[in-house]
Amino acid sequence: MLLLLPTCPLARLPAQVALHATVGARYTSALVHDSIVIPVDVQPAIGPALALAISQHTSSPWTPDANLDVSWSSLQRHESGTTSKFNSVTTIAFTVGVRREIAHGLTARAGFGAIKHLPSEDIGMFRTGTGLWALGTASLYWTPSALRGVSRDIGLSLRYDVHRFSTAALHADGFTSTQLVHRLSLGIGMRVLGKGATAP
Amino acid sequence: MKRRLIIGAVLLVACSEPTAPGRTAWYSFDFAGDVFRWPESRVPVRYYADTRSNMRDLVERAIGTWEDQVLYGEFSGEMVNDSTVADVIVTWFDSVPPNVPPPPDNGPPVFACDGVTTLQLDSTGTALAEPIHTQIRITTAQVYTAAQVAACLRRVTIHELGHTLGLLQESPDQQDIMYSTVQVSAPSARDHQTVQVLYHTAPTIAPAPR
Repeated sequence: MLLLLPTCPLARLPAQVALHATVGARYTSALVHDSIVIPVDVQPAIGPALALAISQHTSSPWTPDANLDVSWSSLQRHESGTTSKFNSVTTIAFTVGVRREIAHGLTARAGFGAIKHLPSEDIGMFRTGTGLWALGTASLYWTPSALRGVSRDIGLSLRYDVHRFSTAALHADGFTSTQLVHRLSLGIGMRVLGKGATAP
Repeated sequence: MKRRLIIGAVLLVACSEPTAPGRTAWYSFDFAGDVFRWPESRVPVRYYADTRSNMRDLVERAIGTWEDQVLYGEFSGEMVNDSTVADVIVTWFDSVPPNVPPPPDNGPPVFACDGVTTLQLDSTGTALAEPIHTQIRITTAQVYTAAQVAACLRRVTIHELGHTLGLLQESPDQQDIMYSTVQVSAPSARDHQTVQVLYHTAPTIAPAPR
């Protein structure tokens, strides 16, 4: 659906449906905490993030939406105070949720969905692939007073999400449980199609 | 609604963090107390393979096998076509087997080949003086089938490349690929853990300068 929407003429979007885009940067906590002689952490570097959200305005204060979030980062190994890049990963997260205005110019959103990690090389901890992991997310969207009333709903987005992570290779190596991964992204958003209220 | 969200978040975060697996099943890899492994700055390690017969295929397969033993990119190798820029040079010792695909060999291992890997220290004793040399030899004392020779070459090339990674000792367990007379076709769990421990141990011997 999200792939088709940008090619659709604006006039075909129902009046209450809007498409928002957000670009920014994302911090991700460690995917793996290991100890091989010394502590070893694997963590994505801070990287760019892009999100597209489609929402339908209703008469209720709660607005349902769907969000597709993509981010890119290099994978780094931290040990003994040194950092080494050894792979890179694209993450794709899809969530559905609801949002509502909680203060003037400030919208909150909560959602849930799934996330998939796509490494650039199927090596090491990714050599036997990755699974699909459940994801919970919460975000805030703030439209500065100077921009309120601007037709594109330009504003700042702060998004937090959390999911668990492991791979078959890690499991085969003896990791019997999964790692909790936190992500935080900060971005600038705007409505790119349709009409509606404040962006997610 | 708000209370449910908070409870859900607390439950998610409260789940215990995973414990790193213990890696206790490994064998010694040092040489008289000295440790060699490729540092981060020299990965991927450059391998040159004899252009005759299927040596390149054997080396590529062995590199891939060892790359699969590490989780976080600690080791990787690449083939180079020029031996003068190689970190490791793998050649036939004397006779060269025909480069024909042999039928599959599912029989017991026979010792139709062997190999030797040489690390030459410089005058300081803290660095290699030259690229690592590995030679693979076909045993001629007895006649073996092409399938037996091919299976032996695969095993022995993996074993010898294990030495080029820094596994400087033979394993005492015949189930390991690093056992002196190789009887298995792939690294065992002990080989796997030994490489992982090696690549997180501080080396005392540096590679030869490029």
